[in-house]
Amino acid sequence: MTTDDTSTTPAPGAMLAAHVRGYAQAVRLHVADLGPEVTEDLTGGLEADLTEALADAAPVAARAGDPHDDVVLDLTSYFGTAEAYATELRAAAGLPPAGPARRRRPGLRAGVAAWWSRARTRWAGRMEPLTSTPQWASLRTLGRELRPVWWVARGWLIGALLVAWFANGPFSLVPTRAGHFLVMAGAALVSVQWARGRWLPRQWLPRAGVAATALGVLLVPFAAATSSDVGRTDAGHGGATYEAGYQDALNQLRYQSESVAYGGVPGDDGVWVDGMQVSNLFAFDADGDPIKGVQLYDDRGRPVRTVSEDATAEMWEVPQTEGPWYFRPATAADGRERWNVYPLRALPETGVEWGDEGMAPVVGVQPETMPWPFLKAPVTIEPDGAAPDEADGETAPEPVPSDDAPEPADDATPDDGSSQDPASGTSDGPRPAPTAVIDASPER
Amino acid sequence: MDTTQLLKGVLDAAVLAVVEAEDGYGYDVVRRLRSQGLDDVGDASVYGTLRRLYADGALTSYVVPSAAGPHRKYYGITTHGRQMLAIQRKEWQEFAATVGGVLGTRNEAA
Repeated sequence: MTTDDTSTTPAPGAMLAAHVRGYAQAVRLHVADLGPEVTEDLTGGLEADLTEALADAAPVAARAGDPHDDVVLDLTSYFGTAEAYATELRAAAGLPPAGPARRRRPGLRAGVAAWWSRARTRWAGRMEPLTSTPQWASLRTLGRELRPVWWVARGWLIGALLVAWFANGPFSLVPTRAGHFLVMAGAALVSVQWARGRWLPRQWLPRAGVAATALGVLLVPFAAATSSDVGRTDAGHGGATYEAGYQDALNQLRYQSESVAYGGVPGDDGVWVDGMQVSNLFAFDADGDPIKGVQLYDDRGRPVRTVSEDATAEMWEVPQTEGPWYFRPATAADGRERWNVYPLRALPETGVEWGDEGMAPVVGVQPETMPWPFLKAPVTIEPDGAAPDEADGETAPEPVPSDDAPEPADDATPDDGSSQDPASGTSDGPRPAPTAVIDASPER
Repeated sequence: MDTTQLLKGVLDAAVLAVVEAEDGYGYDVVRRLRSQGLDDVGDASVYGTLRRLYADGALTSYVVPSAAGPHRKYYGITTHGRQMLAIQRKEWQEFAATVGGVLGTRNEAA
């Protein structure tokens, strides 16, 4: 009798089997807090036991296809509620009862969830006069239909952020390069696919969506900033505030990412050549020989700075060197820093320390000279101002006729003097430049 | 008197005894207990007891697939289970004799 179960148990009907499975599942739910292993131990084979118990209780009704089996299909009438069944099971197995002990001390998550739920309910109640109107309903419908637009916009914004971050340029909604466009379009595609539940492990789904939405919302002000920037329309006070915030954030970004300052958009501070920001300038005289300590001014008398005023603590990558570097200014005779004296020297990353007043050189460490692009410029200039053999504005400095220049360039070259005596220098002669400049540090 | 209260104390021994006689699955044990007179035994109580005895190492367990429906989880007794049963049997008999001595005479007298 005990092992020959098939002969004693009539094959249960599909309906009955389904009800048994449902009841067993309900019992499992009430012991699930014990973990999957114990649950399996406790309820393994439960379906078979239930089915057989039912067959014993109502052998006729348990027959397959019996149209009158509704009575016995209410399993709770025979076994009691699944909860009571589970309680009995747990007690007999010597396991702790479910529930109260667990519920009495909710974790932080549960507390937050409860608070959020209460806040939502309160808010919903307060907003009900508005939300119950048909206009609101149609607005909701509209919003739901516009969701795909938001998915694309969200991805586009995040893509733009990625571009701004990795290319270290300004945040712009309009891609300036094909690569940028690809990144932004790709992000938009991923955003849409996530929203559709694709390309994402299931368990990430809600959180990734929420994160993407939150990030997208955070980026909207930046988008407003760039659009006002692009249009060059005076957006008034709000636009200006966005602009300022955007610049702040951008500086922050650059500062934190410690990355190359190349790749931004021409028109920012600094010197730009062919869309790439210039880190340092190297001057060569008419014979093609390097000149050190060159002071550069533009035609309005403004000092030409490659390192803008608010970026003096920025790190730079320098060709042919292991970076990064912090450029340091020359020091004028009056003690002031001059950033328009080239080539700039630089401190290695290990040569600076950060104090309360910002970055400062480590004591005893002197800025190093940066490698020259050429030992000798590839172009020489005819000294009498005749036409140069080829126009090469990038490598050769502006060919200034020497008779027009207020002071000969070679006089302004503290080439040997500064390396011997950096402190006193050679710049005591009369000079048209507004400030006499000496090198702040010894060479090499 | 509610015999379920009495049963609780001896359910372990009763289940062990049934399984010792022959391996059995959950409801099979229930049915054999009932057929031997323990009508009030609850299904879930027996299943829980089986699980606890299994966890204590008194029983082994194995699954037998059934062509006619869901698989059945069979329990068999271990050496440790037999020792437990021997002790509990002895304790129960002593206890029953004692309680019988206390209760039996008065019942006859009444």
